[in-house]
Amino acid sequence: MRQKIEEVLRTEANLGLDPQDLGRDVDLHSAGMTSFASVNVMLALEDEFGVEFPDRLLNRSVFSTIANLERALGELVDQPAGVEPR
Amino acid sequence: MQLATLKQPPYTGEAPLASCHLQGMANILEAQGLVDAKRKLYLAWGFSWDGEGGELCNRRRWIPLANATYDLSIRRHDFSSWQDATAVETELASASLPFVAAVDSFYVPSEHFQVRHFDHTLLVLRADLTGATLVDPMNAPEARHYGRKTYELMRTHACVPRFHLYCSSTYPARLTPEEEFRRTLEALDESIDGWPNSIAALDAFIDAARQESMPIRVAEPAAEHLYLAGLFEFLGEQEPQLGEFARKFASLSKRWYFVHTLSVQTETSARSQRSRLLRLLRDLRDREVALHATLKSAVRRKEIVGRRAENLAERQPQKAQIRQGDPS
Repeated sequence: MRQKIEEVLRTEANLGLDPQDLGRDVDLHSAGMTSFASVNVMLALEDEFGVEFPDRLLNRSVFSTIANLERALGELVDQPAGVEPR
Repeated sequence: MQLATLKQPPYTGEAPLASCHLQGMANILEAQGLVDAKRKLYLAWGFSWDGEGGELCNRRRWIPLANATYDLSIRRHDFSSWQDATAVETELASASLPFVAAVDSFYVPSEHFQVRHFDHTLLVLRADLTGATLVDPMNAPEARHYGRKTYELMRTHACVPRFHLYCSSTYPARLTPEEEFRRTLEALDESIDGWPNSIAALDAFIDAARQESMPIRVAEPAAEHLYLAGLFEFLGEQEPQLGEFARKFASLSKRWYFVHTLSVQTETSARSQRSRLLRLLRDLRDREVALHATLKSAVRRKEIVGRRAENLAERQPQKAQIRQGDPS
């Protein structure tokens, strides 16, 4: 999962450095990701993992670190079919 | 007016979408004597929709409210021709009045410089037949001179709506803190009382947005809420119970900007985001209604109303003294 997240961040987040070099808890916004770019990241992650972020997860905190993204996506990907409809 | 101070304006840096003209006007008003202008100038809260197109706005209500509160003369000029715009710019130059002008950022240092045509606004310290001296508080906050030809190109591109500009030609009223507080709440009262019309407009917009083809453009409400957050931060320094609304307006601003960005980013994508956007809009609508109820209750609390009544009582004797002093 981390590799897929890194790939999305690499292409969509406009970070100042390679996501592979970022710690799991490094603030992505401080690393250069704008609010605008975070929307692109969200959409790309949804496409990559075949999920839709529910409204309760559409906040700055979820998209602030790789660790938070992993947690959120882990929750969505593990949901039984039909619980988090797209 | 301290025109020279505009060469290094106090309000600089990133101005989110639909707010750069407010940053520009804040700089002008500060130079004209309105201290802390950026937090004070925006006093309107509401929605308006013309029934066509996808743009939600508030019909620039902030302008008459700022004018009424601080005895200003802020105007937005829209022109049908560049010649008409030039005539007004010449008048402003002869009066040494700076203004905020809409330009094509293709021609100025910015992320769009020589890449794409995108409307932006910046400060014009002076524009005449030789060219223009400009300050872009957001991208390059130092004075730069552009030749006439380049200035005309940046002012007349198709992305610049009606060559518009903003200016103000009067000094702000010198108000005591109490008078300023009272007038500010009076301005907010207008938005609070006008809420039924605002919600009706928002409901109509959301209803129309069910059509997949309708673009959803809500950057203006997003910018409005951003500036209202600043206003309530200012009011909270005088009345702490009003300060809590700064956080609420800031949060709503972020949500409105998210909806705008999501709509723009996904307009041409294969996967429709329409149902999600509608859900977000309805949620925003509910949050706006809830905020209105709590804000109305807060500004009409007995102690705040009492403070305003005291201000009014203090003012009336002054009015009487002025009349007694008039020559017969």
